[in-house]
Amino acid sequence: MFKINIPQIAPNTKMYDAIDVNPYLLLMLEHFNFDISINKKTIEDIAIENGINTRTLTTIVNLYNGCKISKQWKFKKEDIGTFLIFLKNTHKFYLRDKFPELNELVSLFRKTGKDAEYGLINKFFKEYYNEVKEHLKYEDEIFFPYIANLIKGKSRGKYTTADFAKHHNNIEDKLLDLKNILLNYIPNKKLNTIRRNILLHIYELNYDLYIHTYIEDKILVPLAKGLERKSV
Amino acid sequence: MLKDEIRILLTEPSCLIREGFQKITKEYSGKIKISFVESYDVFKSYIKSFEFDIIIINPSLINNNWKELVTLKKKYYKTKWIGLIYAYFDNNILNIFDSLITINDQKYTILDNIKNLGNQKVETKDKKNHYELSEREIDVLKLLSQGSSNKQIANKLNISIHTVISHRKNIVSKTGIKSVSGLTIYAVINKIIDLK
Repeated sequence: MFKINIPQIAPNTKMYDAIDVNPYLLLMLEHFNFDISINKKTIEDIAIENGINTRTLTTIVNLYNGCKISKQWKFKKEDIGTFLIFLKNTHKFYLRDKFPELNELVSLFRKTGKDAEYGLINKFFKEYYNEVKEHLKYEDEIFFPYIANLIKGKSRGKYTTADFAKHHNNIEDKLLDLKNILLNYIPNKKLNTIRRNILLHIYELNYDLYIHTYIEDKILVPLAKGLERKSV
Repeated sequence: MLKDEIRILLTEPSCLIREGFQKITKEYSGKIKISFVESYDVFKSYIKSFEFDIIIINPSLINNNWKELVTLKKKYYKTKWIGLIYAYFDNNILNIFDSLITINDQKYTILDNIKNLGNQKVETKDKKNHYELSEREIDVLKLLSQGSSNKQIANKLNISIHTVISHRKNIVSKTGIKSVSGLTIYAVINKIIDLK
């Protein structure tokens, strides 16, 4: 969970100003496949340019800023494609950028410390990494294609969104455990630099994972269930 | 300030009751430091500036400020709130308080009431500052990191599964670590288990 509380931003806010307040919005731009050189555009400009509902984009910007999504706001069937792109790119970002970077740092951390716990931390992270890979692979290969078919109105077979929701496990806990162990239980000032590097990566990843899971559970799952009801 | 002193704020307009209350608390076995205010507004400024273990307040002073009172109570959650009752109040209102003192209470009922809430304060303080695990929790953690299930732990330590679960909850809340593999690292660092 991230603790940030920036006031609601309106669609006519310049993206530049929004990023100045919350640099994690750079991740959002990348996940949506937008150009990061935003060229003084407002949120609305960017939404129109990319063919996304302005209110949908504004809502996600505000979600990144720690604002809850208003219950009155209903996402539409047309938004599902946008969220699928967002989530698929998020997965790419985890698998190609974030986790390999962290993996390298944790391996380095292991080499610099002698005691048994450094080896254990490395093992802990590797296991976690594998769990995340499994988790993302399942979504990429089963759940997302299922939704893509659902949008096209193709037959569903036995699998439903409820099956996904039932098995959608938490992938943040172990990351937070790692953060906790590094911050509280491994005293070694010599490792400050590498530890800070790992922790900053963890914070960024945790932030993004939180929003990713939120979009899956609170937006995509209800939308998919709505589609299923109509196609039954 | 002495650790086991109970700091009380009494909000009550009647001097008869205020002074009567003070006299009664003098018979209390432990140390009590009591402050008095007469109105709700002064009360609000007091709780902003000072820390109290117990707040005793006459609900008739609160008028239409119930919502505010509930917010204050959440904000100062460590403090215990007692309603001082000498008229009829709706149960919804009485339920806001942790405890009640009524005008007909015997002296010792009042003192017991304060004692109970005062002791709770000591307990919660201990919990908050006590990150170390208890001996029993260490036993549970040891078996957990060696791969035992809740049922196996319960059998080995001769306790119920329910107790094992409650120990595990405490271990998680004290260490902040949720996963078993994370807790194993904690156990190794703190020499609770030896890898060799």
